[in-house]
Amino acid sequence: MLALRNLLRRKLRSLFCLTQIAVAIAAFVAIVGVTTGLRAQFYELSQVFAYDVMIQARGASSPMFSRVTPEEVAAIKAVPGVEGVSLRGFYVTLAKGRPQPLTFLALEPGGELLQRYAIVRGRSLAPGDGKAVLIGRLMAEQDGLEVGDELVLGYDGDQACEIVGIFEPPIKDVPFLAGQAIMSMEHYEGFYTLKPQLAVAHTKLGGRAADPAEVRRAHVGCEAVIPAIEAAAPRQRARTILSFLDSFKQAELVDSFAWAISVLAALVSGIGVANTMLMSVFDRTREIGLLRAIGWSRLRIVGMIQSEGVLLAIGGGLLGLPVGYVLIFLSQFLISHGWLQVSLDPLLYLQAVGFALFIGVVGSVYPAVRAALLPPTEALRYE
Amino acid sequence: MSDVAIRGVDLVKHYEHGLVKALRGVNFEVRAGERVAITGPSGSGKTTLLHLVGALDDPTSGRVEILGEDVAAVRDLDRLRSQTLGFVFQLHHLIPNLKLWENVALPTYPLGISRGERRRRAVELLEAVGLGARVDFLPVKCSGGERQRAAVARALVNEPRILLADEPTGSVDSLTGESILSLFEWATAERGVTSVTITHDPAVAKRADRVLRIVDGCLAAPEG
Repeated sequence: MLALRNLLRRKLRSLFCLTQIAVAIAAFVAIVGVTTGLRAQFYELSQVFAYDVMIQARGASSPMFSRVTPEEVAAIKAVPGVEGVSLRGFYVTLAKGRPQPLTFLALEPGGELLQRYAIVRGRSLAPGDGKAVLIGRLMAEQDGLEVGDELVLGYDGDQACEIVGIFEPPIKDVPFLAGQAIMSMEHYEGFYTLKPQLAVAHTKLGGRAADPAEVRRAHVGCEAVIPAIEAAAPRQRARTILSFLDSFKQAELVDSFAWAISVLAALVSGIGVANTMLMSVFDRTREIGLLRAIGWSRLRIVGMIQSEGVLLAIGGGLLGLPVGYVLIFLSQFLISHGWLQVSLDPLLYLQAVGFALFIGVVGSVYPAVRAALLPPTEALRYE
Repeated sequence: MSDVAIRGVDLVKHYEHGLVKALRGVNFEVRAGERVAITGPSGSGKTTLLHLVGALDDPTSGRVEILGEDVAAVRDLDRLRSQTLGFVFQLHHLIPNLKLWENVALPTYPLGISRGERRRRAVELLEAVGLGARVDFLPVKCSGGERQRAAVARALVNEPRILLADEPTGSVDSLTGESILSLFEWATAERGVTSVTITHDPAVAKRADRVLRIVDGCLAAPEG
């Protein structure tokens, strides 16, 4: 109560300090939210594709430049330990009435990969479907499309397809995946005269790892069949999902960068708290001397100053949390167009509150100790 | 219970590594219930003596006894300052954002009593010093005299045995000064409080039971 009243005495100064903390918390929430989301996304990828071996042409810098032939697929299918092989193509085109390009996956109807997409409305693709397509739930919501609607594709807007189903991707809550569309491999190869880019060898059909331990076990199993796959298709390179994700070292870099920014933000706002509290202690030197003279212990003085720092930090945190979420929202929909997955779990709230408290406590340690150590006689004489 | 409320024995206080000799061996006693005034020119060591008696500073040598107990041996000086001693300064030192009653109640915080009890004690004292109508006022809304009377109430709120005052009438007009002195006399008469008051004002000194005069850090010949 006394701490709050002391802060309200210098409203402008307290407000500046609150703002400083709020900016730090907002940056923390936004950055950690995005990187945590990225990590969660990678973890779920490792679960979904735990029993799979990704096969891509050697020397292809990305799947876009990779090709896999039917002969190679047949050879890989014959490798002991491989229970099935799925093909995947990737295509980017324009759709009528849609400002941003639409990414298409080409999958085999009835194949293992397509079965991992849950159909929420309509049906999945079937052999002989021709120009039928599936669209992601997010795309359906954003573009106001439904099962039975027509989707006009192509840079000239001359390729009409029928939406037969709406899907939820195997990795949940990834806006990018839920915003994609799927066409049949038959359509992809026949109409667009494109070739499958990737083959995925499944060491277990319908397998999704339940936890990190199972991911590691599945990884060991997949590694065991890789030499045989590469011997069967020498032009191809085979990798497990874990080694595939390992190539995304930038994810770790982003993670470290996020923490570095957060620590920097904490440091700056901690100094802000320290500065505010120190000014407050200077201003109240005689007052603190009086409190010591009338029997307030050093510990009680420390408690009072620290409470003020913590109150500032909590206030800044409460202000910064919504700002952080607004930043996330803006980055998700205005900058990344739904490509970013962010984490908005309660743990992030707790982390942000903890982060704010840390700033408040650490920032006010020195001013509090300084106040407590003021000799009462000198403090009372202070001008 | 000792009849002597305060005893100073061979009190010496040096500052600046001995360059400034504020007190040069002061011996004195103040009996319980007595009202003593300390006078002397500026820089003679009056405030230093009061700070030593109030356990706000340590003597370079010598000792201070409060109610028979050596202050140097007291483990909890905060408790001594909070419950045995009451301070009134030349400036009221009221906290501007706290109401009058909250200012008066400040010494009660270390006692750990409830807010209601703190308010009850503070209001009772404020009424006793004639500020019953100003309980919920901020200091800025009160006159200089009212603020100083509130400062006296603050000094008395924990029912101390000893009241130490440093020029309590130094910054108020003579009428207000009169009312402050009356409060001290009331505290002595009604509550048995021993008071030690530093003053430059001969009229204030005249109201004391006894006057101690300090010159150049030494006690001059007893008066009163």
